[in-house]
Amino acid sequence: MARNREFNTDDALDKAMLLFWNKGFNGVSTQEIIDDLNISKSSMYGAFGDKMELFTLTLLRYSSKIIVDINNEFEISQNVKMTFKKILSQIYKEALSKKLNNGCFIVNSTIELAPHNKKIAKIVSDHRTKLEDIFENAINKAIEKKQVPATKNAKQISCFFCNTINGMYVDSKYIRTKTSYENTINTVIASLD
Amino acid sequence: MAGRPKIFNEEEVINKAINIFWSNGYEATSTENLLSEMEINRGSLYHCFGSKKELFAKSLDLFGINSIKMIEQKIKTYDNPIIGIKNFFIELSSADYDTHNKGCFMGNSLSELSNLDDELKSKATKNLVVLENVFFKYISKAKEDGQLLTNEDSRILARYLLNLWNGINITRRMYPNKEVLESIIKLQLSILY
Repeated sequence: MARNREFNTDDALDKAMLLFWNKGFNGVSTQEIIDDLNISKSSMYGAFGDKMELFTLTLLRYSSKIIVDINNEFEISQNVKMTFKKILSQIYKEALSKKLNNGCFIVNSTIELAPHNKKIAKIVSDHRTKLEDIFENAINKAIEKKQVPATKNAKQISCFFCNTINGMYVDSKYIRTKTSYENTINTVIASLD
Repeated sequence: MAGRPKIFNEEEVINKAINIFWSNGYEATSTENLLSEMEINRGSLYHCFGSKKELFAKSLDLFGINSIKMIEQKIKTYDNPIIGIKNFFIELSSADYDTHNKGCFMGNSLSELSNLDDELKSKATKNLVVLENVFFKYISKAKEDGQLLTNEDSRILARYLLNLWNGINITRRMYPNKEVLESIIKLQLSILY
């Protein structure tokens, strides 16, 4: 008794996010969540709802973090090609350096849940749309600055880059050679030449 | 012929297991799901296939062999294998909604199991590597026959196609839309022809 029910919501969500990101929705039990977050079952339900509601909160949290990060990258960017290269390279660098390679939480959830859950399907496709919009704007700006030829279709290329990113997250589950990623990235970035 | 033990075609039954594993993933498929889909009883399931894990392993193996054979067959029917590769990818874009939503059985399994089960992970990996080798074989052949537009190394191109494959199987769930998918695929393949 007298258990302290006060907890930091942000910390709890970060912990839960990492659990789901590492193991997927079905790979995590409610018991694991309450153990890892060190809260009681009733506090969990009171603060976040059931396991699916908690999962949804963590996925939205992850998505907004990524969108903010990518937006920042382009805000400080001097050269759009270099920035794309940096964003794409970060994916394999992280994957190769992590002991537990959890890939991308959005991609993982697209595979595991989107086909069976409309709410999750909406979150992942909204994320994709936001990411493509950021890319498209960045490419259009680069066209204005004459860093990229005006003949390029910014919308199509944004879609292509998002597809490459999705592919790289799946690749990163089994490909461990750096040069393999570098070659793919160079081939992809060349579409802006 | 009463009293004869029920005989079933193993490959046919595994194909039914593949269907349900492919749609639901490994963790989310229950033994009950398998029994009703495979139309066999619990005793036969355990007797013939051992555990759920063993059945999943057999599903990955059988699916890998059959689907890669089918893909190679499609590529081979053209005198110019590059046209075969192009048509193979473009055909994906006109699949129905459910097919888009299922994605790639190997990629799905890798994503779900890469942190949970090394043995199953390596089976899924093996199949993707075999697929990459099929692309490599036909790109090399096209290169020898002067049918390839680019001078890029055949291995790099084969790897690039696997990245396209892994990516498009995520993208098609976010955008189960023929026009969008076809435009990404054409843009990504434009370096080949």
